[in-house]
Amino acid sequence: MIYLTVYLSIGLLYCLGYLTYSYFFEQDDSVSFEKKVSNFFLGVIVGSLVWPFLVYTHLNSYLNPPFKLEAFAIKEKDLIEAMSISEVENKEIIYDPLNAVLKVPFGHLNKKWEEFKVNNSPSTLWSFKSEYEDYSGVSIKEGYAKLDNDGSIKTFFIHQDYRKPTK
Amino acid sequence: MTAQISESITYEGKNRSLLSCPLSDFFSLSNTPSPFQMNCTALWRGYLGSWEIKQERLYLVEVKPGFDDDNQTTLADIFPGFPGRVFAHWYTGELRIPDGEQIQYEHNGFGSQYERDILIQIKQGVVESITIKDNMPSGSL
Repeated sequence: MIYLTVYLSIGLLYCLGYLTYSYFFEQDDSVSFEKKVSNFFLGVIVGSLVWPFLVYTHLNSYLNPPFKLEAFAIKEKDLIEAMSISEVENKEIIYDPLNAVLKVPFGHLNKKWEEFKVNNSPSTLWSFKSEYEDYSGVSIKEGYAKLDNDGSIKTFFIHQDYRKPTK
Repeated sequence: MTAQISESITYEGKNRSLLSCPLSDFFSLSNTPSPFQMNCTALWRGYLGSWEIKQERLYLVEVKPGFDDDNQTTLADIFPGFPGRVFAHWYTGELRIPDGEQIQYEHNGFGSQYERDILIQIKQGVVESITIKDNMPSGSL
């Protein structure tokens, strides 16, 4: 009997602590006060019985937080070299011994490049290589970015997008 | 996802299956909507591409719609001026060519396993390295 009392007491204390924390720090205004109260008491009663499972769940979510996908953005550390438009175009001309591409900057992606130039009128661009983690691993994007006056990067041209090889 | 029909590739003079889709990267990088649509759950990408490794480079030599008699799209429609061969310089990544018998079927994408995989690393359309991966369980004959 003493063991059962100890077990339920630990559960009661744990649930009271957790539910009080949730009440104050994880407020959900869409739930009515009556509903919150009934959820609180239901949580205490059920939680006191199955508290080891709750402890495991809470610990697991704390130690192994779920993956959150970030929006792709080029960071300052990704920038490699500042180049003029003519330097970029000279560097990115595609050559092929079988002539299966036009000798123009970015080859079969030239149309997109020309649109990028017309739409953004860049004078200087930064080459970049950016690693970005998504659900299936690490993706690497390479291209050229326009640095705004405030140092932000909102405009870029991507010509390579591939998975980081797994070792 | 249902197991997907593979692409094909001519490698070392032999026509083989290719379990990679470099053309999808082109549509994505060029902001070009794919002219193909899914008409069969075994071909979500809607097309069948034929590829070739020649002079250490990756080329697309044919593309045709799959399960869509009304679609007459050809290579020249996607790459004007290049009706017979396109250098896939936009592609960086791994090409997976299965070799040998299928040893495990997976009803999912290109998930089925074969005795060996020929893995070709491509950098901007050019072959960087080729490795053979043995998928047979150790100890099996």
